[in-house]
Amino acid sequence: MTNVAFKKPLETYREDFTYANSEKAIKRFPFPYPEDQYMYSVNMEHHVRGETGSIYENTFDVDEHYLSEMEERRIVLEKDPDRFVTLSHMDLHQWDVLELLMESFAQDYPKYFSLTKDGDHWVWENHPLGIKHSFIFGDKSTLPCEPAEYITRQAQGDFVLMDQRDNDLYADTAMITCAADWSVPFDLGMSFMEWHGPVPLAHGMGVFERALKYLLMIRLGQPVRRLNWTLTINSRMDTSPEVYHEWGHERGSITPENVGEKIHLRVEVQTLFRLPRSNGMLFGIRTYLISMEDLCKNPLWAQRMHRVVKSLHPEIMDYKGITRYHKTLQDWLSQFDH
Amino acid sequence: MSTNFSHTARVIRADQVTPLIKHFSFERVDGKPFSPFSAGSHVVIGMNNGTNTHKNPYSLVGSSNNFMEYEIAVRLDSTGRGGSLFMHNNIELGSEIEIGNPYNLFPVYKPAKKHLMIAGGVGITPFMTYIDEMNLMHSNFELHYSVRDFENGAFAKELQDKYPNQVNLYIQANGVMANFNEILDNQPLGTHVYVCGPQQMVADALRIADEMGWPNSSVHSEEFKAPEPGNPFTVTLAKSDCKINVRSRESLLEALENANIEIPYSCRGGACGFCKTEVIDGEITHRDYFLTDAEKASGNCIMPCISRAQGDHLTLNI
Ligand code: FES
Repeated sequence: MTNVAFKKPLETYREDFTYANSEKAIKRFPFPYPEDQYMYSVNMEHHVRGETGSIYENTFDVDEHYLSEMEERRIVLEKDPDRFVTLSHMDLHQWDVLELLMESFAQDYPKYFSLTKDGDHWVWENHPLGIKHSFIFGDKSTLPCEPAEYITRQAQGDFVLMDQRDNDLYADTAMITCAADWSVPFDLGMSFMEWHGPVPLAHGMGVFERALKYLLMIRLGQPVRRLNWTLTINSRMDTSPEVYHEWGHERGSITPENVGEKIHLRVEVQTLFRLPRSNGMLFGIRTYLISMEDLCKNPLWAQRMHRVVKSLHPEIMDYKGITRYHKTLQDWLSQFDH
Repeated sequence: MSTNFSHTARVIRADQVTPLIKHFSFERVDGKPFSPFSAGSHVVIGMNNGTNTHKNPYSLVGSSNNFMEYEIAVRLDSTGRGGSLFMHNNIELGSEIEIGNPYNLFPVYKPAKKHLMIAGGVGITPFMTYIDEMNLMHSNFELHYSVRDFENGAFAKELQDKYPNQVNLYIQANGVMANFNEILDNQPLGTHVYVCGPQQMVADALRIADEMGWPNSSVHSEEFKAPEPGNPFTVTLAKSDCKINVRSRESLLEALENANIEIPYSCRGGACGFCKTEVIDGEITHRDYFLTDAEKASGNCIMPCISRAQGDHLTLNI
């Protein structure tokens, strides 16, 4: 059974940035580079359970940052309620996701979550957040908010619910409070191509056309995953375009002295699940942050990080917003690569 | 990793609902619930007749809210390859079969303002779960269902009793024919049409919709067909270095399965794309709906559930 030592007091992802990883969290960090040189690829694999203690042990990873991340989500939503948005034809998708998350949590973390079903009468308990709620599955009026909002306020990571139609996937419901700073702002109703279109160097390779075909064929009970990464200054979860004014200038704050502490590798574990009742898809984007200092405690990671940063294609650097501090970072990392 | 996973299930009800259609309900032998599924989904049923296994896709017809049971309706096709005959004659209360995970090739277009369903004969089956979902979601829908005679109209009475205002029944024996021009005329903006039934009926409905200026993207039909017999041929498997004979009444996929070679599948009718297999040598007669024209012309892949060799041999890269 999975035990989680939830961080207390709560860590912050803004202002004083008290977020930090324990030894255990560093060890299980999803280091994303299989090679010394980074090449964009869709690299999908089946989302199957991994080793005990790893981030893949359970279907959805709940870790030591759970309470802090849920508080961060609450803060973002309080300032900007539109970070959760949905279209009216998405009800079934929403219930699908509520069921998937509740069932997975209750099954994988019985110590912290429980779900009791009596027909449509369900009782959900979330001990870490102190929630106990009885509701009728399928009846929105028995929940305090939309079903997908309700459950994703209790689950780490961003979630996009996609409707499948016309041989494409449309992002028609979304909870996005920890978006990486991709250059496309998320728009409700975007198709898969519109959303992923701007990745440089990927189009010529036809990767998205192939990826979409593959995604459309994802089957029930056979989710897939892939990793994506970028760099973020400070342990800031919310680097969405809407609040660029709050974080954009931080890219200029990097000095040789603060690289290790300020620059964070940000890894997204992206998962895709076929949703049973709606035939839609859940796109989960679970973000892990680690400071360069902590990352470089692992000599193999430190060495590879240096080589990856050194060989980055300028267009990718631009897309990921790294250009401005690239040289400072590369110089700092070179101490680990002899 | 195998992608064709399935559960063993037992027949808990088998009713002859019309002279040609038998309605089956199954429960899992392990007592667990089945997965929820979306309206329009099908499952593949695997039945063993002692010498080999028939695997046929059927639309789920049961309520999309009772997952202890899955239900299907099987029309007896005496000219077919024996699967439906076997279901009718040999599968009874207590029989065990294999049932695959649901997959959907005929999904409801969720943002539609109105759903207009046109069914003929056993083509009613996917709409059973459609109507269930639309009722649940309070969607605006209309069903036009043509049957030969009342006796042959599976579920006709229950549908009419339950939805008297939405269900229109056309009994051909009484000289009542569905007029697609009238049905498709004057529908509100944002209506989507779904057609399922005999090939000719589907073709007529699609043609009329097209003539009336319906956009392609608002007209949906479930396209998958059963494999047809063809000339026998041999396949060479390059990687596993062996030869298999494909008999005239079996599909390439079935021949591979009988030789214990597992290929992913879902529809077994040329639509889902799972069985796509690389061809190294030999001419192909393509019959599927999945490959693009360019892929077909390139001649380097085949959908073995439905397509065959044009000549007497094929070499596959498996
Ligand atoms: S199994 Fe669906 S295309 Fe062959």
